[in-house]
Amino acid sequence: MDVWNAAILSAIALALTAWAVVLHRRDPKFTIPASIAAIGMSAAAAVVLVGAHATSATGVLFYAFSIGSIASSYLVVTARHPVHGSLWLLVAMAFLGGIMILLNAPYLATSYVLVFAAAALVFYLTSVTMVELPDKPAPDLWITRYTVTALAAIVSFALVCFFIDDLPASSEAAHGMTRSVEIGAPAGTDIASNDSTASIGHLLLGEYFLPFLALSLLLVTAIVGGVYLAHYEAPADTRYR
Amino acid sequence: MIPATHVLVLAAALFFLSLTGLLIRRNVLVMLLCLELMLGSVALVFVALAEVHGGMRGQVVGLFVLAIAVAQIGIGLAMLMLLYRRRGELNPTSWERLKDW
Repeated sequence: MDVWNAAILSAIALALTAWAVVLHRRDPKFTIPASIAAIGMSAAAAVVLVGAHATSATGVLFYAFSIGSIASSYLVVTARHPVHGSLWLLVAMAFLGGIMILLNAPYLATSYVLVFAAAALVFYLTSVTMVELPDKPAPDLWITRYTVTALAAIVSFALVCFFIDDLPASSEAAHGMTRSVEIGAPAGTDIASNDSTASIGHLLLGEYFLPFLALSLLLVTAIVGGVYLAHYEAPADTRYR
Repeated sequence: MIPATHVLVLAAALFFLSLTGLLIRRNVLVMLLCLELMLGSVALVFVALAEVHGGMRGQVVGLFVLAIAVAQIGIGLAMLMLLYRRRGELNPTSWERLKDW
């Protein structure tokens, strides 16, 4: 990634952050022009990216899913009510699953969507019903901390973007490519035919058997620990009610 | 076909977006959601690099990341219930003092 692209991406992130800060003030005098500017910038960036790189259906889908996942993650981060946030997390995970399918990982995509939709979200909504949410959300985003944190994150993001090009260098050399490695299913490929499920199963019960066992131990520990923590009775004088 | 760098940039953007959310939000329920998103973006990096280098190893690690995310949400919600019973609110700044527990 050259400096120019990293700068453009960081500028978009900055615009979205400014939008969030202004949204927090909930004053139409500020929010409406800022929203229009941020949406316009993001749409322009999307058009530039799609026009420059989407030469196939896979590419168009990838950029559409990326914009969708960024937008829904943004809504998770800025959600005023945790239930809205969790539903947007489900949307973000669905978009991530779509991207994973484009990257030839249909089994992993299915597990992500199923686990997050069926398991994690149900846990989550159940515990939302067990706590008392404040009627009127407290001022959740404190402006100074918000701005400083977001700026730090944007600077780190720009640095990471700047170094991303070095990562696939070895394969570039191997394939004799000069610019960037193209991945994902070429248009018209039947994704289901390359059977990632069987390969994952062979790896899990073969080469990665010990990590797999360790992971099942971790899950059992998590279940036991979760039950213990949730059932723990606080001494009467420290209890909330 | 998608340039590999674009997938990595997308994963970085999702990671830093949810990291910002984790640091700025003062509601533990939303902070847990942001942690899940961070783990999801890391899994995306593993899947993309599995494609770049060929083979399935990255996808296996992505599966491990998924299991760790689930263990984390289980323990996190149990701790949240425990702490909520003690303090009666979801703002983690009210949990700074752990001495009396």
